[in-house]
Amino acid sequence: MSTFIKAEHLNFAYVDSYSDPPIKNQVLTDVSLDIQKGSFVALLGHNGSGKSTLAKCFNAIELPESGRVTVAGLDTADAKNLIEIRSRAGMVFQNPDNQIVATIVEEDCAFALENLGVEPREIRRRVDEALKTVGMYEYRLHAPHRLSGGQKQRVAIAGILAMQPECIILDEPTAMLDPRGRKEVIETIKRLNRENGVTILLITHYMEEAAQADRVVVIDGGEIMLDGTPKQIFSQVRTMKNLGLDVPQASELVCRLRQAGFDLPGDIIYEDECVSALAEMLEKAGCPRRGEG
Amino acid sequence: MSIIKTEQLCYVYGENTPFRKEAVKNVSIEINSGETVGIIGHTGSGKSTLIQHFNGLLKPSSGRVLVGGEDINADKKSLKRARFTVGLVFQYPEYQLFEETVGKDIAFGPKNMGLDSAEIDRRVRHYAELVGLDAELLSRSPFELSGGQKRRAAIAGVMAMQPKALILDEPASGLDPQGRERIFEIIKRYREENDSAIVVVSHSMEDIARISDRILVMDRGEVFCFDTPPKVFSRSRELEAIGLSVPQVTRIFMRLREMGFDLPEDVYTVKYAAEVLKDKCNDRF
Repeated sequence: MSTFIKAEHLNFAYVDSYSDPPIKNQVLTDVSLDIQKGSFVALLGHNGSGKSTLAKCFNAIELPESGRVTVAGLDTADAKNLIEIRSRAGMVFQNPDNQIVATIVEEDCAFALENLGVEPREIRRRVDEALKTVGMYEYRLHAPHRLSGGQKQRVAIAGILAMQPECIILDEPTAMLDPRGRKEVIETIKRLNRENGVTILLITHYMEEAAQADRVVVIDGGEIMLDGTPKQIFSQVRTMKNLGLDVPQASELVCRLRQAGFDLPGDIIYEDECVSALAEMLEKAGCPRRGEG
Repeated sequence: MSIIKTEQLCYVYGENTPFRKEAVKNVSIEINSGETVGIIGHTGSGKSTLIQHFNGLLKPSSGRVLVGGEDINADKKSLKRARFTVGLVFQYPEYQLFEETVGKDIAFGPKNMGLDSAEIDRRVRHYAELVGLDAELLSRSPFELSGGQKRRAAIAGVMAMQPKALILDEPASGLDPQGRERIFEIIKRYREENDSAIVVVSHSMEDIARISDRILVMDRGEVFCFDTPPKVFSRSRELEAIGLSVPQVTRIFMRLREMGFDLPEDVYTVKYAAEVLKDKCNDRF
């Protein structure tokens, strides 16, 4: 796999220039990270850890103070690359109300394509397909303000999908959704990744969502603290809690039982494997199943 | 004693338009002082519409809303009283800060109640402290605060009116686990100080399970059930069928039960789940 997004010794600070002397707030410190083309990476960190800023650096919304960020080999610091970077790496934000611009769902979805000068017939095709993908096709003629938060977010995602980006960066896209909407969005993201090879960078506070990625990167205080497979990361229950993060309940349950001396594998993070391991444990301990007396 | 009561509450959006929708149907519930009620339901289940009736932001299409035994829609005075008795914190309240300083923003509600300036000042300081905002922040512009601080400032602004019922729509959404924990601690402290009723609307079953004395489950505008967490979670399969996700640990136990193991139905915290499994296995040795 080739590298799609590359950060090299990235430093970033917000400067409050109204204060005298100006106050510098260092957000990212010497971050180096490669995101492989076609991968699904979850980025975790508590509020204020710098994860959203990092995502914004990947989309050229923020530029490095020092160091370099490239997207598909294009340097984000070069203004000429802006449009190409943003159409190849689309971004979906947390609050859909801040990203919907039109008064009709399908027009909102077509907004970027119109700006990019795509043929009307092609716009029609892509908008329909994108809305179908997120399950909002039936609502294509509705007014966005009449939709629920979850529906709005799916429209925002459709707007990005319509640009057919190689990579989608999603900053807590499910924070405002209900479980059903959350599941739909995550299934959509996974499908785009597996079937269409879209590179996904997902920022989330839901550990069960992060567990579905190929790779989990944990950031704290503007530095990368952990980087590995979901199993490698979520089996470190104590480390994650110390970083102010959670782990899936399956991991936590197994961890508690292991501490109590039960012989269970240390790398359980998914529900299915947790159920099988617990069933085996109960059997071994001689707990009867119904009908077996 | 019930502080909020609804009788056969119905609400229809967009009557006589193509968008007509019965958002709330025949809801009759009572919420008591000192209790924490969690409201859960999938998008469009009517939970936000319901809570907007509690302080008269919406008028029932039919049925009544009683606050402290009084029909809040009886006349203007009743409505005004209800607005001070029932405090509503909207989703993402940080977007509603508007004053020049954090202190003035928190003072806005108490000022409208006509309190004297000494009392207003006392409340501003007290509730800033309760939500964990340093006194020095009170003179700053709300826009200088971090997102988490802004949210807490907005919550303090509603608490400063000392409502007897505090309603919060998704107060922890978008926050990390520590931030969520902090918000729920703040709410708990408010409840203990004022013996108020707390109503929290959330999509997170984990959060709702942890904080609620009773859980109101809404489905398509109707009350699906309104009961204690163990009772509600013992109906996990039905909850999933109406589009709600139960905590992962509840699902794990449900599946083990379906495999035939004799385990309790009401497991919804990791701690309790671990205890149950330890007991089960140790008993057998």
